[in-house]
Amino acid sequence: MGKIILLVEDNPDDEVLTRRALKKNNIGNDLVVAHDGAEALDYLFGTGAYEGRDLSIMPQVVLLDLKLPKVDGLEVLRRMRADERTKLLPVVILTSSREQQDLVDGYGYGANSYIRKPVDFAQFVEAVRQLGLYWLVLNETPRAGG
Amino acid sequence: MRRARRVFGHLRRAAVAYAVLLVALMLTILAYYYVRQNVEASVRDQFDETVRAAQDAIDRQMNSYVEAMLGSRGLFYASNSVEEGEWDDYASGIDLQERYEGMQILGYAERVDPADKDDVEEQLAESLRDEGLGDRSGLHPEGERPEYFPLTFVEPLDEVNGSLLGYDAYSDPAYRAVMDRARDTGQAQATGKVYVLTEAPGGSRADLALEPGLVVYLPVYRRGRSVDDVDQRQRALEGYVVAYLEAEGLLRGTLESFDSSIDFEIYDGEDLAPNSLLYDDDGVLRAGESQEPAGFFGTIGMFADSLAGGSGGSKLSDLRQIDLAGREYDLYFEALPGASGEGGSRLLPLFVLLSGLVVSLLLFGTTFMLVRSRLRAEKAGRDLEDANHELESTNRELEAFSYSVSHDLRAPLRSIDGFSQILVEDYADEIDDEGKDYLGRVRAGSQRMGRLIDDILGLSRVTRGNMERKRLDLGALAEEVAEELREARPEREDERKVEFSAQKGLEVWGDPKLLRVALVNLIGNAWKFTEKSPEAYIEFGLSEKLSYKGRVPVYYVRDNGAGFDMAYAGKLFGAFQRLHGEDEFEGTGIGLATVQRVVHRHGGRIWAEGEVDRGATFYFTLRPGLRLDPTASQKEGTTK
Repeated sequence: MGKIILLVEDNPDDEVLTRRALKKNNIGNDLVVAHDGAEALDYLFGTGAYEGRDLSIMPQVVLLDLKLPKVDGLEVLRRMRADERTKLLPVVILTSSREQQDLVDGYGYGANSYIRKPVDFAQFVEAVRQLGLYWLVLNETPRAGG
Repeated sequence: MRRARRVFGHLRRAAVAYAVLLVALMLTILAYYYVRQNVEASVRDQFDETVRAAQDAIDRQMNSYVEAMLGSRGLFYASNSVEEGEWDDYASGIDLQERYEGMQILGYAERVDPADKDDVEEQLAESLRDEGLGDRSGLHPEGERPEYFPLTFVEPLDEVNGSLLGYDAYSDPAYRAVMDRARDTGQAQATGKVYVLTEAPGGSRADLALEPGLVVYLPVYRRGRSVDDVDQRQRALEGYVVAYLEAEGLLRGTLESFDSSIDFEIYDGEDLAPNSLLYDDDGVLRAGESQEPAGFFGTIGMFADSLAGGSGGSKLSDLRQIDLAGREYDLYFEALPGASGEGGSRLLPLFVLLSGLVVSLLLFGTTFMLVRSRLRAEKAGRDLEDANHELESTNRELEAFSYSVSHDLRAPLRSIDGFSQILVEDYADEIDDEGKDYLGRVRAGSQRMGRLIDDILGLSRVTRGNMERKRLDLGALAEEVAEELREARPEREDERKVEFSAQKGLEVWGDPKLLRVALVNLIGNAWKFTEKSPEAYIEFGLSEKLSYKGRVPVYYVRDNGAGFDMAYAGKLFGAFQRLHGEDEFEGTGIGLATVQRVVHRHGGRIWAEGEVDRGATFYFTLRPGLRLDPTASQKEGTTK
């Protein structure tokens, strides 16, 4: 059954660290990584490189960075919320930015959570643990699409 | 084309100034014409008055001469025959030569029929001889005529006048017409202009001179005969009293008393030509002449005169008819230019014009300056706006820059920290304790770097961005901040519990976000530096001592923590300045710099007092105001 996590992250270091943090917390879900906003949209809507993907399988949660090549995180979020298929998908913004404006915009566009990546890895692991526990275990999501 | 546009632009901008100039000039010209008209009218009135008076005086003078003639006629009506001696007596009786200066001759022309001609001639020749005036036949000019009117009496009888004794003027048609008219009307009648033989004035080489003048004839009728109509008069005529009047003598005395700035000229008849001139006051003929400017100075004079109201085109003059013993003479008056006695009032219009021009120009200058300074102010305003726009765009760039810093500078730190941690965890067997210690330092360094970045961003955030002032309770805000700190540091709830008190109801006018940042730093510092105090105590409030009447309110945050040495108080508010080692109290040294910026942005000041291990007090104000307590500022100054 394997619930999928979609990680949208352009920094390979952060990708490695996130994978490790997930593993450390025994979160064994399949991890799909999109390296820019365009790739993330392709995956979600089955376009481009993901042409023909089975769209009935949607990620349990999307971990979204804001500063991304091609299409930035807020734009990805806006398009997801504009589309019926992804409208209700839980999105956690996971970013380095501490700007108040990003936080406000993020929630404004319909993000479910906003987590700032701490420099301290231990703190990062703790943050991932909490979000995994909540979004993958506790949270109930309505069935989207069909 | 471009030049024209520039001129047009200039006119448009300075329109107000030019309008003021135009109005002022118009008012000046109106005032000039008004004053000029008044002055002209008053000059004209005075002139008219003089003219009338002069005319009356001439009338009176002429009448008095005719009276003298009438008196002499009385002689003939008083006796049957008048002897030459009696005529002489009369003349000296009326003081002829003294009182009638202009009467060259007072004589009598007797009517002589051709039948009596020879007797009369003989008589005349005799009296000529008696008077020693030569030997010649009496009646002249010679010739046969139906009637003769030889001058039989002549007073004063001197050498000059003696030549006229026996002269028959009736032989001259011009005289004859006048004499006939006198005979027919019974009135004294004057000839037109004639030349009268006189003694040459003193200094002249000639003995005799011909001067302009006129001759007046007064008819003498036979005693007792009625003279009711022309026919009776013609038959009753006995002769004429004849007066040769020399114009100069007749009028000089009369007109001398009048304004010398007016010239009188008397002409025979309507022809104002030099050869009909009878009398001229100043020897310059003016009637009917247009004045020729006399050289350069004359031109200037005329120009000034025309401005001053003399108006060259319409010089002040008058032409009157005057009756001199039944003959019409033309009397011409003219005001002489310049030499007027009332030059002051004649110059008044010019003065009004000039001072009006000066005032107009001054007004124009003043208005122009005002307009120009307003335009400059407007331009300065526009420049300021431009500068503001520039500043705004600079701020936006800074915003983008710090966003970038916040996001991109932290990512590598995360890698450094994260992989150091992974090394320690995954390769614990291969790394000895010393290596682990080093990796720990790498991690500590990167985390510290992360905090530094955050604090620098915070510092820049309080510097840029708009201020949004609101009314808020600073005490309540302090309480809120303390509550958050308490929650963030639950470990200090039991041991080394912090006693916090804040004075409520301290209303200020400030930006809530910025003030929160300031209080978070100030109270956070107090929290941090009381960590080692057994009975930590933090207090926020309004300093009664420093904010008495008339001063701006001074707020303070006081603690009983580690304190500081006043010698280093000057370093407190500099960015990255720390008074404690990292091992003692953690921190980046940016907090107080941030607080200072917030205070400065509100127009206030901040200073501190402290003592090592006795705590510290930070004072601040939130608006510009009167000088603070001098001791406080002194302390602030000496700590530098």
